[in-house]
Amino acid sequence: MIRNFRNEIEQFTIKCIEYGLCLHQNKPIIRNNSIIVWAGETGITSALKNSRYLEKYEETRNSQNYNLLMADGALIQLRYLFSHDRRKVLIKHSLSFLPKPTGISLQEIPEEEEIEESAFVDIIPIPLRFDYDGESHADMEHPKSHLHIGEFRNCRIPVCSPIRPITFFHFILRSFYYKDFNENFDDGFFIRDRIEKTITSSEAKLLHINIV
Amino acid sequence: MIEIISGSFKKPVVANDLKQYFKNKENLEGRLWFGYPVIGGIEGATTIDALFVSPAYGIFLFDLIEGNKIDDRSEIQDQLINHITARLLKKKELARRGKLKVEVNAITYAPACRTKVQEFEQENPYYSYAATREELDIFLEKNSKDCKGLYPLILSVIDAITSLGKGHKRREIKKKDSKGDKLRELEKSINHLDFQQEKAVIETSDSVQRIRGLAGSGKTIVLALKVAYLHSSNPNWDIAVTFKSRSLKQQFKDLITKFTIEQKGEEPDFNKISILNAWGGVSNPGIYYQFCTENGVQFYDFNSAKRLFYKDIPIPFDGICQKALDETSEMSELNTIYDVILIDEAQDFPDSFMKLCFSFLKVPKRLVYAYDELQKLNEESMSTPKDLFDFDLRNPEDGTRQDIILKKCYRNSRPILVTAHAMGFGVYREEGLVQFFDNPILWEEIGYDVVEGRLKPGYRVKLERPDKYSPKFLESHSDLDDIIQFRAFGDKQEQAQWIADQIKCNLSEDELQFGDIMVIHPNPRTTKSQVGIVRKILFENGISSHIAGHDTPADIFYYNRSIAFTQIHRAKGNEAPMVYIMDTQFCNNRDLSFGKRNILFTAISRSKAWIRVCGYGDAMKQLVKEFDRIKKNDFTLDFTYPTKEQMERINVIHREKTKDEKKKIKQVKQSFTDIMESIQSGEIQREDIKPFYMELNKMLGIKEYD
Repeated sequence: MIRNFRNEIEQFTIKCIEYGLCLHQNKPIIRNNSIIVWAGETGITSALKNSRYLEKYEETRNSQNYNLLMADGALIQLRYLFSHDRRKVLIKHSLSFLPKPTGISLQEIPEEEEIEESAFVDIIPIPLRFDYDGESHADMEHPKSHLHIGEFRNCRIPVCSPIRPITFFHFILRSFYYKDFNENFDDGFFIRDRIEKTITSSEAKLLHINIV
Repeated sequence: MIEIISGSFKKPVVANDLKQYFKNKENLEGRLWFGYPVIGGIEGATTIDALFVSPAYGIFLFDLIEGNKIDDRSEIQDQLINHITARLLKKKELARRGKLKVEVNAITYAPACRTKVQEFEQENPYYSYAATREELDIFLEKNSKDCKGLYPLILSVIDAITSLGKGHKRREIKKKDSKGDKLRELEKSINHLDFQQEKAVIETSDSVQRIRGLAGSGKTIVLALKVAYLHSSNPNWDIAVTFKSRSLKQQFKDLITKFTIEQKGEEPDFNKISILNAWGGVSNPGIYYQFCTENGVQFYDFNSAKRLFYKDIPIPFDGICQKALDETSEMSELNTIYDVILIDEAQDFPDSFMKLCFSFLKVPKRLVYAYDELQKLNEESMSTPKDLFDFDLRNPEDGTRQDIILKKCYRNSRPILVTAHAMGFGVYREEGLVQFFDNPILWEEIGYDVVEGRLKPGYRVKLERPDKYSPKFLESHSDLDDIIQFRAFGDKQEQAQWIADQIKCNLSEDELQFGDIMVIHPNPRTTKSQVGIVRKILFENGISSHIAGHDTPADIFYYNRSIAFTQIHRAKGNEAPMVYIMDTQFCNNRDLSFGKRNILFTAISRSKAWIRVCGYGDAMKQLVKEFDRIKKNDFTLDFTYPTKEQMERINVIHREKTKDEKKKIKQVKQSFTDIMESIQSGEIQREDIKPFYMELNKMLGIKEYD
C-alpha cells in the first residue's frame, strides 16, 4: 500500500505539471521505508503550529514545504506514516490544503493578460486538513479519521475512513479547481478500491463525510 | 582625450580652471571626475573635489581651494589619500606586499593663493601645493606611473561596482571549454562603467534628466548607482525610485545597498530612500498610493480602477493617475515629498503617471527617467519631455547632460542583439517590415553604424554594430551556430522532447547550473498548459521545474535546483545565459500586430550567452527562413529604407488593435465570409453587388478585373 500511495501522488503530480495546474512541486518520497512525504521536507510545520495562518502559509511556501504549489498559490501537503513491520499498516496521515490567504493578494496591476476571474470575486480562503490517527482516538471526541476546517481547534468532522491520496486529490480538484478538473480530468481517473471503514457507529450518526 | 564627468561640486571657479587645464591636454587619455567619488568620514560623507586617472600617468586627487583663503591642507590630503588607497587595496591585483602598485597622489590646487602656496611648500615638502598650471604639469610628470594594465580595474573600484562581480555562484568545472567553463570566464570580465554610463550616474540636473538605452545597456545598474551616489552626497534628500516589473524591487534594494556600502562604507538609510512600486496599496506602498494619501485624493486599487474605467480607457492606471492629477490641479499647495524621483522602465507607464511624479516633487523638480529605447519603436509613442513637462532637454557643452543615450549593450552579444532587432522589425521577413522607427537617427542612437548606403526613404542601407557598442568578448566564447539556433519541429511533442533533452545535457555535460537556464513562452494565456508538456518530461527524468510565480510580492524567479519556465511578461527584467523560447510560431501569425514581434524581441534579448528559438508548424518554418537570411548577411541589417507611403501602410496594418477594433474587424470579416458564401451558393449574383465591390476595389486600390 505504501508504494501504491506514493505512486498515486507522483502520478497526480505529473498530471498537474502537464496541465499547468501547479507552478512548482516536490517529488513524493518514502523515508525509512515507512513515511511518505515530499522531498526536502523540514520540520517547519510543527514549529509553526501556533502561528497565525498568514505566517504559516508564507513560511511554508518560502521554504518549499509542500507537494504542490498550485497556480493560484494554494499549497498541498500529503504525509503518511506506515508501520515499520512487514504488514505496513497505515498509522497516521495528514493531508493539507492551504490556500493563499488574503493580504498577500494583488494590490498591484497584474501583468497584462494574466488576470484570472478570481481576481474579481471575493473568495475567503480556508485551510483544510484531513487527519487520520489509528492509535489515538476517542469515540465522538476525536474520530480516527476527521476533517479540520479553518483553524478552529475543536472542529473535527468525522470521516468514514483514512483517505488515500487519489481520493484527496479528487476532492480538492472538484471542490476548488472545478474548471480545470472538467477540462483535463474525468472522475474515472480517481476511482479506487475503498479503504476499510474506521468510523464508529455513534460517530456515523453525526453529520459526517462518507464514501459509499 | 580626457573623459570629464561633473558630479555635484561646490567650487565652480577653480573647478572650471582645472577642467580647462585638462581639456587643453589633447593627447592625454584618462578620466576626470568632479565631485566624485563620495568618501565616508567621521563627520559624514564628503565628495572628492576632483580625481584624475590616466593609464599613462596614474592616480591624482585634487583638493581645490576657491578664493584666496587657505589653511594647512596636510590633514585633508592625508584623509583623501587614505580613503582612496583603502578602497583600492581591497582589490588584491592592485596591491603588492600591502602597498598599492599604483600609488595615489594628492595635491592642493589654489590658483588664488600664490604666496601662501609657496609658504606651505617650503614648510612641509611632503605635501604638494600648486597655484599655477605649470606647477600642475611638474607635479604630474614627477609622479607619473604607467598603469595601462591595471587601468580597467582601477576604474571599476572608482565606479564602486566591484561588488557586482561577487555573489556569483561557485561553479564546479571539470571540463575545459564546457559551457560552464565559458560562463565562468564571462563572469570574470571586469566591470566598470563606460563614459556614458558614468555621466548618467554622476551628473544630475536640477530638472528633468532622460536616460535611454537598449535593454541590457545597464540602465538599472546606472539608476541604482545614481541613487547610491545622490544619497551619499546628499543624505538629507528624500529619494524615490520606482518601476513596473516587480522583480526590480529586490534588485534595486540589493544594488543600492551594495553600492552605498562600497562608496560610503556604511549601509544606506532607507528612511531616505524609498523603493516603491508605481501603484501600491494599503499593504504595499507605491507612488500613486502615497500621492493620494498625502493629498487627500481618492485611491483606487486595481479592481475598482477597472470597474471605473473598463469602457473608456485601455489602461486603468492611466485613468486613475489622470483623475488624481485633475483633482489636485485646483489645489494651490500640493504635499510634495521627494527631492528626486527616479523612474525605471518609463516606457511602460502612461504619461499621466510621469506627470504625477513630477508634481510630487519638491522644487527644484528633479526627475530622472530611464527607458528602453526599443519597447516603443516609434519615438512618438514615448512622449517627449516637451509634451510631458513642457521642458526641452539640454546638453550643454560643459554642463550636466540632460539627455543621455547608452548605446553599449552589455547583456546581449552582437549576433543576438542584431537578431532581436531584425526579428522585431521584420527586416528580413518575407512579406516585409512589420514596424519601423519614425526617425532614422534612432538607429545610430541605439548603436548601429551605417556601413553602406543611406538612411533615407527608398535607399538601400546596411547597418552594423561596431565593437565599441557590442563588446566582442560577449560573443567570442562560442561559435555563432552555438550562440543562436532557430529550430522548427514537426509538432509540440517533438519540440518538448528536444528541449527537455537539451536541458538534461545542459545540466550534465555542459556543466550549467539550474539558475543558468530560462524557458520562455510567448503567449501568457496558454503558458501554463503549454509548458506542461516539457515540464512533464523533465519531471519524469528527475529534473524539477517551476513556472515563475507572479502572485506574491516576495517574487522568486528562480527556485533552488529547479528550471524556470516563464511567460513573456514575467521574463522581462530577468536574464539568463541559456534561454529557450518555445512555441515561437505564436509570434508569426498571419494576423500580425507588432506586439507579437515585440514579444519576440524581448524574449531573444533575455539571453546573456546562448539562445534556442523553438517552435513548430509552417509559421515557425518561416521564422527559421527569416533567421537564415540574418545569418547569411553576417548579422548586419541590409535592407531598403521604407518610403513614407510604405511606412504609413506598415503602421496602419500592424498597429495595436483595441478590443473594440478587434470586435469590429471580426464582425466585418464575418460579413465578408457571409457574402462570399452567398455568392458561392448562388443565392446572390455578382451583378447584385457589382456597384459595391467596384467601390470597394477603388477604396482598397485593387486592380479591376472587368
